[in-house]
Amino acid sequence: MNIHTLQAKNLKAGYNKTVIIDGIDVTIPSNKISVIIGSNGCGKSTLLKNFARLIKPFDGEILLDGAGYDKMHSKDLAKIIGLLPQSPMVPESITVYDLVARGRYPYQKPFSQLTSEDQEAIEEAMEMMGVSKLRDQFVEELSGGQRQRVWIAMALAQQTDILFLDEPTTFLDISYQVQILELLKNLNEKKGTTIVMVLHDINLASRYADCLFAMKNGELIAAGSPEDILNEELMLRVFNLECILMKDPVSGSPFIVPKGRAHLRPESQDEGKKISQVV
Amino acid sequence: MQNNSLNNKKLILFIVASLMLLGLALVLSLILGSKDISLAELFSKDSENALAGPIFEKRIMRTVLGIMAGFALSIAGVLMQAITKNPIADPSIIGINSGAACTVVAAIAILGINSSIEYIIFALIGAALTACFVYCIAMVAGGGKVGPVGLALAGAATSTACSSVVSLIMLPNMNVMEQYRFWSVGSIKASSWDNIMVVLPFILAGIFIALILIPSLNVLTLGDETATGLGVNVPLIKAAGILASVLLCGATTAIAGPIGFLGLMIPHFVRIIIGGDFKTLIPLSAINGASLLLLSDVAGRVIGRPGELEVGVVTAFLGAPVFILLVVKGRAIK
Repeated sequence: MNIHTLQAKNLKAGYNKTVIIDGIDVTIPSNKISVIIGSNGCGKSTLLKNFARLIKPFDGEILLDGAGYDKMHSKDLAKIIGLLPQSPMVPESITVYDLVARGRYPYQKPFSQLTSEDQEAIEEAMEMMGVSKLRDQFVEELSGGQRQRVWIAMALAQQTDILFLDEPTTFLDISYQVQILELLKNLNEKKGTTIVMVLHDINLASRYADCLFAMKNGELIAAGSPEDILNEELMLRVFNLECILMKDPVSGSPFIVPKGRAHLRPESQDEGKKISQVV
Repeated sequence: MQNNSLNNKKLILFIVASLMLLGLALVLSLILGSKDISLAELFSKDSENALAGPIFEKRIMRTVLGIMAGFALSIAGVLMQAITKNPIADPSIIGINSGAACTVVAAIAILGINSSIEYIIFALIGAALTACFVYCIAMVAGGGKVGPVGLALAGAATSTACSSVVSLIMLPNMNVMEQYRFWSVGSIKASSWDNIMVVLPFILAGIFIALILIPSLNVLTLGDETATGLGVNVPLIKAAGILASVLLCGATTAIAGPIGFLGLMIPHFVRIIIGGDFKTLIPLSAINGASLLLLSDVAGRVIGRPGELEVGVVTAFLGAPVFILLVVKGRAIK
């Protein structure tokens, strides 16, 4: 279990000179999985990038254990906070092992070799993501799902207590999406890693998140467990979308079915009501 | 595991082959030229071969300079390719060569400089100023972030501007043209050990920085965002890489003139053979760069008999078709 706390205070941020987030307060719950949801351009990636120190806030501050990021050396910070960006670059002809090994960068010095500690961390990370058998394959030859597992293994080899992932499931098919989220859940349960990610699929977010942050126009509309905050009204406010709230038959978490015009005939509306009454 | 041991075998084979090639290039560079010297002659202390002595000394000098320039240009090429994330980038892409040339020509015309030391100093200043200028423009254009495209565009524009300044000064001024032509085509015909000793510290400093940067460069190839997440100070590493390139290229251009395409070709081929790990890419590019430069120089000496063809011309002859091939092949792969 980790003891780190992370929060944003009166955070004002954006790109170049465009303000996207205009003064919000967020506290990341420790040892939990948090998911940021919201429509495109609402500032969820901006928020994540500020926490992952990819961009600097215009105003306000981000506090790790009560102190600003600039108080720490960037390598020391990288031993606490890890990041998997949305589209990392795969170098030419690099093996799985070598890519995962690069996650050990914060622990290395110039002219030094991998220590046995480094090697253990790499093995453990590959084991956890189920890519040990792929170790000598070239990353560019892997399927999308395997490749994403290798990237997460790299982030795990970094051995951070906090891990940010920017849309880790976006380019994957549904079976890989579930597989990746299961692995992250497993990581969170085993190691107590605080995980913060941006997801587009509300129902998967609802299933795997301990805490949801719903954003719109750079503001935090709601924060809390999916059971507490995810409902028709929130979907209308955040996505401007009429939905029906149901119950996920597997996990029991809130399940969102969008209405949409094309299928919105009177009978299906009635049916929707019936189902929601049953729930 | 099989794949891995196969890779290791390939790597060891390539290292051995590279070292053997360098050895061969060294010997050829010492014995072949407008006047061939046999190995026996080289080592005889016979006074009858009085001619061999001074020629031999010159040959050693240019061989040493060839190794230095080959190391420097290849490593600078590796650095530029890593920083711009462009596999066919060359130090000339950020205008280092033309900036150095421009400063020297301006100094010849305005200040009337004429000694090698002065050329070297002005070439280094020019290379550094150009690199800073291009880097700053790219930073402003990218809104605080230095992107590969911004760097290439700013470099191309600055390079063109420098070249036109060179023409502007040279055209009405025959005197400068005469002096400038002396080193406008790259040549490793060194004038003296003193000149070599002046540039050596700059080249050693550049190589040292490049070696320190190896782990960071390896992480930088995963993208700027991933690198930041892993604790790399991305702007600092890029600036350090460019500084090393400036030292390496500025010093080489100062003493040997502009030698093109080496920094482009060598890292590219070494990467194809052994992959992109900078731990092996940097030293092996350096070794093979030195070999290619020496062999090109030898070829220039043999082809150009009784005079010689400058090595800059030879590498350009070799490099241009290779460059076109890369572009065409790159298209085909895409």
